[in-house]
Amino acid sequence: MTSTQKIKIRIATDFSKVPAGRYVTDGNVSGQVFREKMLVPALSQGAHVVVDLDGTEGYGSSFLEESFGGLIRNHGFTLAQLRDQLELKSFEDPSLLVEIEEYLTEASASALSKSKQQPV
Amino acid sequence: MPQTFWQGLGLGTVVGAVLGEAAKQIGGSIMARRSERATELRKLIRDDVRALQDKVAPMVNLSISYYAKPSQAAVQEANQLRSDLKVFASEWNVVTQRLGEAGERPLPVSALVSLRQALTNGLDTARPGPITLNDPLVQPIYVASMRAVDELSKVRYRSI
Repeated sequence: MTSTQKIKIRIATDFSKVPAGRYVTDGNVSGQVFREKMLVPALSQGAHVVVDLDGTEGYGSSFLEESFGGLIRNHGFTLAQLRDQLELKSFEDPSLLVEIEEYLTEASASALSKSKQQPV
Repeated sequence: MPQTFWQGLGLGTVVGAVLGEAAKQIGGSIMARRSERATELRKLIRDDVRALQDKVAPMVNLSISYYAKPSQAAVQEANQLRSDLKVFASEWNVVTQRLGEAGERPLPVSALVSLRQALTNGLDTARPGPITLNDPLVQPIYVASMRAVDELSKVRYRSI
């Protein structure tokens, strides 16, 4: 059964107006913290998660890569699952969506290649 | 009295000629307005593109000065860079919309994404000290910034 629950996350108001850094060691508004505190709990409920990227002071690539690529790398989500459950929005800068899609695709390709290398 | 075929044709010819002339004038006026709008758009695009090109070098310098300091000492540069990139991306998108309106090819989004990736790859990531200009993090900044400037130049020359 698929869940119809919808969870909206507006990074600027629900997380930080200045999201920055990759790992938790880089600070408490890093990509890893955002992923673990906000994205994973919402996605694990099977909800449709809408992430609104507008309203922040801007993004660094490391924050974006760790937040979204890390879902596949560290939490075992698949690309198909994320395409189904995750909806990204940015009116201010649609190129962010292209960049995140790139990170998801790269993380997925990397995960697939690792799984093929593992002995049966 | 019923109108004969020939009388009708004569009247039709006169009306047709009048309507044809009016249509020509309306068509000409629409074409002239379109042409004015196209010239106006090309000028806007050229100005916007020039403004965007002028912003690339300061962002590269900011990024280099960020990497030239230990990460803890370069918080201001990091915040400024993220903010400048956001403005840059928003203006890039405006140019792309105008290009669409002018029936031109859009600016490649991949050039913008590569620039952001190169400028911010490693931003806010803890490192103990400054890195040199030969560091693998720094080289892609030059490549991506040159590509962005090239793509902007292409649009600028196309819109002359």
